[in-house]
Amino acid sequence: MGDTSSKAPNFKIQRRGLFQASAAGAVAASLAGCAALDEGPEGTAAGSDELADLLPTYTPYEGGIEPDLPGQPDGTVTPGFLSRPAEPVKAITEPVMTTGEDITAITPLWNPTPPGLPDNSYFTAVNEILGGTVVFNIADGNNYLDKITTTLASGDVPDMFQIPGWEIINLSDFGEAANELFADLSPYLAGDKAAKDYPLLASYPTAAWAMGVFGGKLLGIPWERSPYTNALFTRQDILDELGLEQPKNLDELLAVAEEVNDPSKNRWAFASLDNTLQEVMGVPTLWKVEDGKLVHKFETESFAAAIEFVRNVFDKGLVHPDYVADRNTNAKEIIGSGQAVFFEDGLGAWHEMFQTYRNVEGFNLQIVDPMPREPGGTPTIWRDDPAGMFCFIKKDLSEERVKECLRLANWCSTPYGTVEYDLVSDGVEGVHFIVDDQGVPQRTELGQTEVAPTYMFLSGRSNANMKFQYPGMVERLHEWETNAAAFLDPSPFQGLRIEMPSDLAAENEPMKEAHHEIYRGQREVAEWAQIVDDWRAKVGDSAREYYTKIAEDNDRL
Amino acid sequence: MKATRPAWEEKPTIGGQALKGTSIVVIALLILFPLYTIALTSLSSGETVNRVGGLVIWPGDGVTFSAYEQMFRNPVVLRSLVVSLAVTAVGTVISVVVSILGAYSLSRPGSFGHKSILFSVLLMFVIFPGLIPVYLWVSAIGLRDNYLAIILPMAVSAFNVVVLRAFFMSIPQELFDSARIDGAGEFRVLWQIVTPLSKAVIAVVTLFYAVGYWNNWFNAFLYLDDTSKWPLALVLRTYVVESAPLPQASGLQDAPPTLAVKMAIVMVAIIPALIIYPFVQKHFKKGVIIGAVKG
Repeated sequence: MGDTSSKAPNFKIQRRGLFQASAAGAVAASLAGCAALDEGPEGTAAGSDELADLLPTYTPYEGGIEPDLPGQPDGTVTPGFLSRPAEPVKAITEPVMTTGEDITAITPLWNPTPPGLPDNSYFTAVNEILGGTVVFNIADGNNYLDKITTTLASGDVPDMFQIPGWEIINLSDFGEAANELFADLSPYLAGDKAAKDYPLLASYPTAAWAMGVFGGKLLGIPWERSPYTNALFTRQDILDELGLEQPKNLDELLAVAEEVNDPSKNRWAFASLDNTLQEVMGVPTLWKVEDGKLVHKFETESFAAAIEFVRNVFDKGLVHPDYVADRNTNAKEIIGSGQAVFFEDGLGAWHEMFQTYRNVEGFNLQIVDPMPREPGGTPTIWRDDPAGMFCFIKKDLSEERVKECLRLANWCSTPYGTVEYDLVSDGVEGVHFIVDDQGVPQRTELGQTEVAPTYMFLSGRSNANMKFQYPGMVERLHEWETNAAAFLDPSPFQGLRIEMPSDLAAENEPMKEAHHEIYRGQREVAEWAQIVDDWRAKVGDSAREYYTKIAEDNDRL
Repeated sequence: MKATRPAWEEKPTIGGQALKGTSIVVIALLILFPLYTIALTSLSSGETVNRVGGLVIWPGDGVTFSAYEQMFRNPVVLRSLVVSLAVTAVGTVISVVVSILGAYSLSRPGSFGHKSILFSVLLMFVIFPGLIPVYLWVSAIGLRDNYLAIILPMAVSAFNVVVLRAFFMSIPQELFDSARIDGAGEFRVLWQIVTPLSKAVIAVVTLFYAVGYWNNWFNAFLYLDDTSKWPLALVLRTYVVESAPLPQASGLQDAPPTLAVKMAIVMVAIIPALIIYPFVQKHFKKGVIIGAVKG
């Protein structure tokens, strides 16, 4: 082909012009999209005491079934159920949806996609019972932040909108946006109003409700959360085979680890190790008070000691190579295949592992009791926020519509042992699930395709310890929580609703990366002090100032 | 003085050939090995996957297609497959047609709004309008929950337009002049002169667009509220990314392991591209290299 350059359009882009244009465009794009996101919250705090006028009065729900193992009202011990009730209780008899209008909802999904209406008999059946149609806009939970930001920016929010707390921390000025878009629920719920009209919502702990206050107004219906963030688990069948006992303190943990570690047999002691070891050492969840001053966990001697200990464990070759190579490796698969004996995870991982590895002969995973650094010592069990997710109701709906949404939230909050709980969790008995010999609902093929966690995100629900199909799990978990409750972090900010400043939150991941590099020998243990000094100069001191003020304002210092 | 030839035109030495052969084998293995493990894991039994504790490298207890069976028994997957095929077909046609028209007009000197439009196209290389403005725009024109919302926002790629334009500009001007002397208008020139001469680059651009539509899940995630409208990429993504038990998996003793199903999904997602690439590959050098360096 001939050279046609001489005939080409005479069009030249000047570098300077292009740069100016791109800068202008970037500014325009930024302004157009400024509804939410770039910096995250600057941080706010409020104590549940001063919020008392806004919140529902805690009123235990009396209409459910009695647990076999009682829980604690503050949520530190979950009520345990050793079997399924012969006849689930019908908790709500009044009609739920009465206006004849649909309720639209955006909810996250961490499961495979269900069919939508009208091809989903689960939605159809539940809607029929509710007396109206809930139209779900289901969004992939792993990219939910994008859904939230675009929806909030458009201002076109649904009637009910589930927003997790871990996404809210990424949204700057969320309180302001929420006050613009979502209804103030105090006029409907504050004081004794909730107990009268929405008794299941009134049964949430006050601390959980306090988390639902944004910008000074009660906007979010909280999803109650267990206070425990993680635990150490062990392949008990391997310990039994080797004639070993579960460790009771740090020295025993190291001794057992060295005993079970045998790379020649493709078996290592740990598939993962990080947070639980810090708990053993007594590292606080975030801050502790020493000599009347706040000390961040990174600054504590116990954190440095934990790093040194774990580095030693790595150096001894007690950690599975996959975890050495990648801290985000799937430790569950390593444990399931018997290539490691200990790993740490959330409490929910326990029954998930039994479910996944039910066909592995002899598979027995057990939870390890909180252990102290030395015999007779005291570990610290990290305390999670009392609520993790929030359901918001659209502002400017009529009073009757807001009440209808609250009735729906109340209905979706029904606890274990009720007919409504079954409907929300598994659909219609005989259609979407059957109850097996052990009393466990098992989804039918239709149920497995159509039932997805959706209605449950229109509210929260009380936790229940009820995986009784795995022998001994309910009792052992109840026992573990009872033991662990005594060691829950006595945080100076207990009961306060604090939004972490975004600059402090932004440093969490680099700090995690740094101490994992020490674990893996990429940096020396001695470097940790300098890393903390740098962190202190960058965000630590200003964060301390911020948290100190909150503590002083709330008489915690 | 003896004329010297560039090094790459000399006959390669034995050492050079060995190095070349080794390099090709290593690169091929780097590409094929992950594919092999993914395919093997997708065909492995639960026992094998559990024993290995991850991706399967050595064949275990025979081959099972249960992961594929489970995936395609799900009506949501089947429906999304139809959606994806339709969106990919329609979207690719729209994209290719619009891109050819745009690139052709931008390759002709003096066309309407030439400089400003070309500047706008080139600007798209350095400026992305941002998630929220695009979302607001798509919502404002009423495309929410409409299939067009997953086609129109990505209908034109500036890169593809520039590649096409550069290719069109490399066509000898004499051909255009001859066509005009014969009385051909712009559309006839485009259809009967430019397009047949540009099959290579059009094939490549078509592939880019088709793969883009096939793989795109994010626009569907943002704009399609009704799950029955979701394309395969979004539906399968919920299977691959999520750790929850899959439909037909929970509670069944003979259900395939989650990892096998996830790998089966990966295979299904990449197979169309694997099938198409060999047919289009021969055009790549001609289509992209010429298009990229000319103009």
